[in-house]
Amino acid sequence: MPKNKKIDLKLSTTILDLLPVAVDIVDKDRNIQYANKSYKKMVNNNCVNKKCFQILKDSKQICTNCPISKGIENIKGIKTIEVDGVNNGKAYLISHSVFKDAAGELLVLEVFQDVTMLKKIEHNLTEQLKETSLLQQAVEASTDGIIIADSDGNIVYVNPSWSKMTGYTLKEVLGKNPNILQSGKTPKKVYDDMWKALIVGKSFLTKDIINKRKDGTEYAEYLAISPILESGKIIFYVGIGRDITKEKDIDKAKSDFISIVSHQLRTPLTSIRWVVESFLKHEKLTKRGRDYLKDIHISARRLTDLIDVFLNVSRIEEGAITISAKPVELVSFIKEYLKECEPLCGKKHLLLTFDKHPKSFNVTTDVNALRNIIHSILSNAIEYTPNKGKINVSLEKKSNMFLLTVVDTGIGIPKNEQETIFDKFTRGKNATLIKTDGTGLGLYIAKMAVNLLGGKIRFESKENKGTIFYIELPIKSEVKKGAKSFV
Amino acid sequence: MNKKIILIEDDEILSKVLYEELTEAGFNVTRLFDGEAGLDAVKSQKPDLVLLDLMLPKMHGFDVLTEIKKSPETSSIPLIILTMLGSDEDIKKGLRLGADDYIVKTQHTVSEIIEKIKNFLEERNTTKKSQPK
Repeated sequence: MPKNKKIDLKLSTTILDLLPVAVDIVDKDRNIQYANKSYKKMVNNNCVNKKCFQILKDSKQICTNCPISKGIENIKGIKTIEVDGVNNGKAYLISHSVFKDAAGELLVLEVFQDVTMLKKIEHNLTEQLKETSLLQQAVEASTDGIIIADSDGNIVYVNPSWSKMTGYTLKEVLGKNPNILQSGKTPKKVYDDMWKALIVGKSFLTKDIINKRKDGTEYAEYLAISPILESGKIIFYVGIGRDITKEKDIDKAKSDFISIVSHQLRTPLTSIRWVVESFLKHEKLTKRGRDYLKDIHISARRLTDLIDVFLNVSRIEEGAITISAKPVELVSFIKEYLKECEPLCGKKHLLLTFDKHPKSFNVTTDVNALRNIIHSILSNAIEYTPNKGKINVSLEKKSNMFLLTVVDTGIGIPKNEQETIFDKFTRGKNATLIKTDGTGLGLYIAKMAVNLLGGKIRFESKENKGTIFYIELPIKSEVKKGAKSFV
Repeated sequence: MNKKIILIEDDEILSKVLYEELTEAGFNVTRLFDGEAGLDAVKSQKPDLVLLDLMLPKMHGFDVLTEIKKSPETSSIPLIILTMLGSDEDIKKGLRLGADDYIVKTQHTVSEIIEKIKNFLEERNTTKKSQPK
């Protein structure tokens, strides 16, 4: 500490001019008595005898919180204020300290700290925080359950909706594995498929989860789960879950309704057919009368078939089809079915042949499913092959499968419709010209039935030339447990 | 003597057609339209054959079947259940509860059904006759 209190201003100003920070000295009236080089650079002009606040853009106003306002003698220690709106566009922290000059007058030393960059960073941070806060609020407020787990599968976060859905608070599940929700009723395949996707960084969606809440009650969950990757490694899993028990119940109610209605319709239809059969059997009729009755019978039969189709579709949609495996001798089974087709083929003068087949062929399969498949393919062949055409059926063994081939000289399936022809309610445009009222469900049912039996179905077709259907089915079908069979 | 058949079927028309065809085929048929009345008739008449529909008012077909099989006086009476196509579970359950056979109403003509019933009874008769006393 120098003993000589007299300020050697000249020495001080040299040092002050070397400083990279702006410094000025201000008297009690705010007149700038001295400004260093950096200050002058900062204000871009001569500033001696100007007021200190003139550096401001609005040079009439003094700085907010100016320490000199309370009197220069009252400034104790270092008082720092933040000032922006400086006319060079920057923001500064200005620290003020009081000292006495040689004459004993109180002066203020102002040191300017450029905090523009810091303020910018602070602003960005605030904005980011706002955004994060917004996102956080969105997650917190979401009506979907949101769960986040780390790469080991331990829960790090769940939102309030998740807690509401499962009955577990965040505290209760923090660090635990989400498998605490497993009810044991979700098909294993769902979890297998889920991990298969997650492992390769893919998201996974399912509607087939059945979870168990804290209180033991079960619910159906829709789950969308995504891995969060960093440099190719999974660091988090984010899951969005929704309770879809109600939707599933509604779906089931719809299916049940279709099922009940279709079921109820069959009794009166059977009545019509039986009465007509009796009538034809017992009563004396004119040829015309007989024909009329036969037409009633055919219509009733068509209605029954239609209802059976709807029943099957509703059962397939439910996913409740049972596949039983019973021994069937295929050759006689097919021959019997083809016999039923003879009258209709006769009417159209179609040549229906079943020549290439083993003498007998025993398989174990679901008879109803098989009948549906054969009926669907053959009825299409008969319907859409013009008069005097040919339909050929053949059967052969192919290792542990059997191959049923149906060839016709019919109208074929147009090339641009071949991809979608197995879809529900889809009919070939050329088919609709021939028969206006098809359901578009026959091939859908056939394909579903083939899938359920564990087989394959494909075709080759050329418009106006004909179609070949290849149906491959296992010689020994696997039993599938379901609530209902094919009709 | 004509064989006695009890037909328990709640649909009027189906019941009428079956009744007429069976009567024409030489059987003595009593028709009942609900489960309770059907059960009573089986107990009191002890027929040669019971044709039992499943969807019945007042008492479901399965319950009627169970009761018939429970009572020693009626348990040995041949019984065929009548079902709709696609009710495989009903058929399985019916057979498990003791029905001797089943007829699927929707897929067969009346004539086929009558034939089936005739054959069924003939087979029972031959088995009975061939059984050592």
